[in-house]
This record gives sequence, structure tokens and C-alpha cells, in this order.
Amino acid sequence: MIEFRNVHFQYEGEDAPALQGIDLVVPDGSFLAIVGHNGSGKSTLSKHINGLLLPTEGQVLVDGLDTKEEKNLLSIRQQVGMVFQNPDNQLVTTIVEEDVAFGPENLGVAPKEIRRRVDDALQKVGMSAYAGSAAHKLSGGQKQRVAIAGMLAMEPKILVLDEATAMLDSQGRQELLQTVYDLHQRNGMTVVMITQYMEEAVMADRLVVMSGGKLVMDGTPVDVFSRGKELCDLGLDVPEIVRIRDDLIESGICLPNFILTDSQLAEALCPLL
Amino acid sequence: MPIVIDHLSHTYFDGGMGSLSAVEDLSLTIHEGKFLAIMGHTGCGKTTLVQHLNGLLLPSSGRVLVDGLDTTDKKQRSTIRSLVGMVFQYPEYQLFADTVKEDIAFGPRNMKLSIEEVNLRVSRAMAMVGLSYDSFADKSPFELSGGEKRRAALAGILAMEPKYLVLDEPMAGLDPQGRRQILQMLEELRQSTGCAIIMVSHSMEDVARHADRILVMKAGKQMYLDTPQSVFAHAEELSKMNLSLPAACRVAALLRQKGVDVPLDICTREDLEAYLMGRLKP
Repeated sequence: MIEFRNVHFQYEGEDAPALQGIDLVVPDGSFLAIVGHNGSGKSTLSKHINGLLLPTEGQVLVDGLDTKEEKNLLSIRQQVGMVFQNPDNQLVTTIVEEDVAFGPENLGVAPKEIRRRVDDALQKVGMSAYAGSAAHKLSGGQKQRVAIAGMLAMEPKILVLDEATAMLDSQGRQELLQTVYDLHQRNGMTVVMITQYMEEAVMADRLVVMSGGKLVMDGTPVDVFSRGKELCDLGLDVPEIVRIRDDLIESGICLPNFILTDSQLAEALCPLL
Repeated sequence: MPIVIDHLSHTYFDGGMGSLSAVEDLSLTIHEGKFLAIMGHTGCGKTTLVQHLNGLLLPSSGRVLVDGLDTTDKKQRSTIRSLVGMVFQYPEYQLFADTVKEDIAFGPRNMKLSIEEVNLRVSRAMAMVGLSYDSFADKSPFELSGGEKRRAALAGILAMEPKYLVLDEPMAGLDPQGRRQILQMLEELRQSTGCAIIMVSHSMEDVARHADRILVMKAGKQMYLDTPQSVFAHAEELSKMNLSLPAACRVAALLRQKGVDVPLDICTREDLEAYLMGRLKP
């Protein structure tokens, strides 16, 4: 479980605080998406989860461990795997399986166990066939999946993705999202996904919206995306499917207001046509 | 005069070990004042193609003529570079000067324009990207927000007043409002100056709405070159190439699978809504 208790944060030399009183509890096994305009504080928030940044005021607890306590950091970082935006900045060695082994090696895991974890992690992200490949030859989506495998090899309970799809093409994005979704569904992984794409936020079971360093909305994607006008005022948007749904409803076509995906919309329209 | 790409091929040689054909026998005319979108998988050759438009790369065979000027002609290179503006991915990483106005002035100054003309162009470019001169001209580019940096970097290219503007994923990493602002700015630019837009993008809704034509590339070759309606009518083939489709197009394809007779030329929200309203509210 991740707990933010009245967290404030200010970057050195900045006038305005980046986080202003964040209270947030993320229970084990949940899938949380965070959206917000550029500069709203979402990345700053995510870097608090594994103690890359420490609150100026307030507390962040991961399974009850305070990130401010130096002695907790190793254990927190084992539990929280982070994947960032740039696929080229996150791989540290030249061969895929060596890269995945890097984390557990540093944790002092026994060689046999490392072998098992590397094989298992690569399999979970669908990259077993590339174990011996050169990392620089992979596509962006494949590199991001290897980065996730590197996290999985440390057996974390929580996966934090900070705009991890931003630099990928549509196929890379699909591959990565499917991998994350499967880890959540099959392995009960807790996922915190920061994204600029409203379509991706639909996958989550809870969606929070940030603006000016504060949490301004919190609910299911259905709830949050029913507030299109407010989202637009916050520099955000609703997924295209939601806009089509609302236009049709407004024109008097009877559709359920929980539709979020293309297949749900097609399903609802079919009997009418 | 347009940009004419005539049987262009580009081959990368990899240290004597072999060669990779990145663009193969591609012919295409890019018209003045039009919006051409380029789509395709990572590695399909789209970045290689656009680097030919201002002579950053030169053809292995075939030729590229910018307003009749051959990119292999060294004497014409600076003219070609002032005609064709290039905005790479994450252009804000290339901001370098102490102030925003200095950064934007770099390009026009290199074109050996008078100081008055450079200053005029800087303020015009800033107005175009929506950065107020009074608030931003003397700021350090590094004090700006992500979206502002992107717009400052774009202004640096716009200040060269290109006739063709080439952009590689200009909206990547921006929030929805930032994306809307960039697209709106490109439309205004096209209307006020007649500048042609050539944009590499994975953002299908935007491409469907704004492009006059779409070039779809596969393994260095032209797969489709047509209007958005006609290109997205190949929904099945595009999906097989792992390209995504605009939402309206995906819904139309799903309805078709369920046996509903939806026309093939639906690619924007408006198209789909108009069709559905016609069927449901005659």
C-alpha cells in the first residue's frame, strides 16, 4: 500500500510549490491512473513513491515504511519499480538478459535465483526470444518492456510508469499497455500509471486528476470522464469515444453513459441500427 | 513550385557488413500550402525520408528537387535550408541561448538578414506560437514550462519563414491542451502564410482531421498516398501493419464486423456522428 499524508514539495530555487497537500492512499492490487497538464505535479508525485524525491512537509509511506528514513530506502526501492519516458535512458548493459539481471545482482541475489527471475521476468513481458539480443537493436516498445522486466526481476509489488508510452509508436504503446494490464490482472501487481493520453487512463480502475500540485478529481474513469467540461478547463480532454458518446446522447440517441471504449460503443449501437 | 521526390532510394551501409535499404524507389510531390501527414511503423523509413527534404541526407539514387533546386547541389543548400524548416522530435532539447529572443533569432541571423528584419521576424514568430513578446523575450528558455519550450523551439524555425515546414511528432509528450495549441497554430500558419505542413505523426485523430493527404510507408516503400478518407478505408490492412486507427474508424470497423453496412469513408468523429444520425434520426 502507498500512502501520501499531506505531502508538500518545493523544488529548490522555485517560487511555487510543486505539490500542495497531497493525501492519497493506493491499496495493494489496484490500478491507478494519474492525468494532469504539463507541470501539474504528476511526475513529482511519482518520484515520491520510491524516495527519489522526499517531501518538504508530510509523509510518504510504502507498506508502512517512511521514505524519509534512509534505512528504508533499499527495501522501498525493491518494492517499487519505476519506468520512465525515454526508452534509451533506462537500459544499462548491452545484452538484454544482463540488463534484466542488473537489479537482482545489486541486491545480492544468488546466481541460480537470478537465472530463474530473469527467465521469468522476460517471459512475463513477452521478450524471452530476445534474451541474448543486443539491447540497442530493440524497438522503443521492446526496450520499455525490457525495462519493466528489469523491474520485475527485483520482484516489486508496485509498478510506477511515468509517461512510459510517450515516446513509442502505436504498436510499441499497445505492447507495453497489454504487458502492464496482464501483470495487473494475472499477478495482482499494483500499478500507478501517469499518462498524457486519456485513452490509456480508461484501463485503470481509479483515475485521479492533478492540477497546480493538487488532486482535483478522484473517481472511476466513468465518473471522471463524465466531467468533460471541467477536464477541458484543466487543459485535459475526454477520450474520443466519450466525446462521440456524449454528442450522440445530446442528439437524443439512447446510449448508456458508462461507455468508454470502442467495443462498448459498437456493442450499444448495434441493436439500434 | 513543389518539392518533387523522384524515384528516391536511400541505403545505409553498416560498416561493410551489409546494407539496409531505408527508402526504396519512392516518388511523391509535396504541394505548396498543403498538409501532408506521414505514417508508418518505427523503422519504416519516414525519418530517413523527411531528412531528404532539406538535404540532411542525399539520395543513394533518384533525386529530390525543392522548388526546382536539386538537394545534391551544394551551391543551393543554404537556399534549400531556408525554404524547408525542420522541427525534430523534442525540439526543446535544442534550445541553447540565454534568452528566448536570442534563441529564436539564431536562424534568421544566419540567413544574413538585417537586424531590423531579424527583430521583426522574432516578434512575428513569437506571436504566431502564442508566446507574448513582453513576458517571454528576455526569459531564459530553461525557465519555461514544457509546452512553452516546445513553442519557443518552433518559433525558432518559423522565424526563418520557411515555405515548407517539416515536423517529426511535434505533439509528443504534450498534454491535450498543448496538442490542441500546436495543431491550431499549424492551421493558422498555413492559412496566413501558405506554408506547407509535412508532419510525421502517430496521432490518428489529428491526422484524420487536418491532413489533405496521408502517406503510409512500409519497409521503405509507399503503401498508400491518398486523402484520409481513402487511406483509413483500408482499416484492415492498416491494423495488420500494427498502425492504429482513429476512434471513429475503429467503431465503424467493429460495426461492420457485426454485419452493419457502414460506409468505408468514415474517419472523423463528425463523419461517424453524421452517419449514425442519418440512420437513427431520419
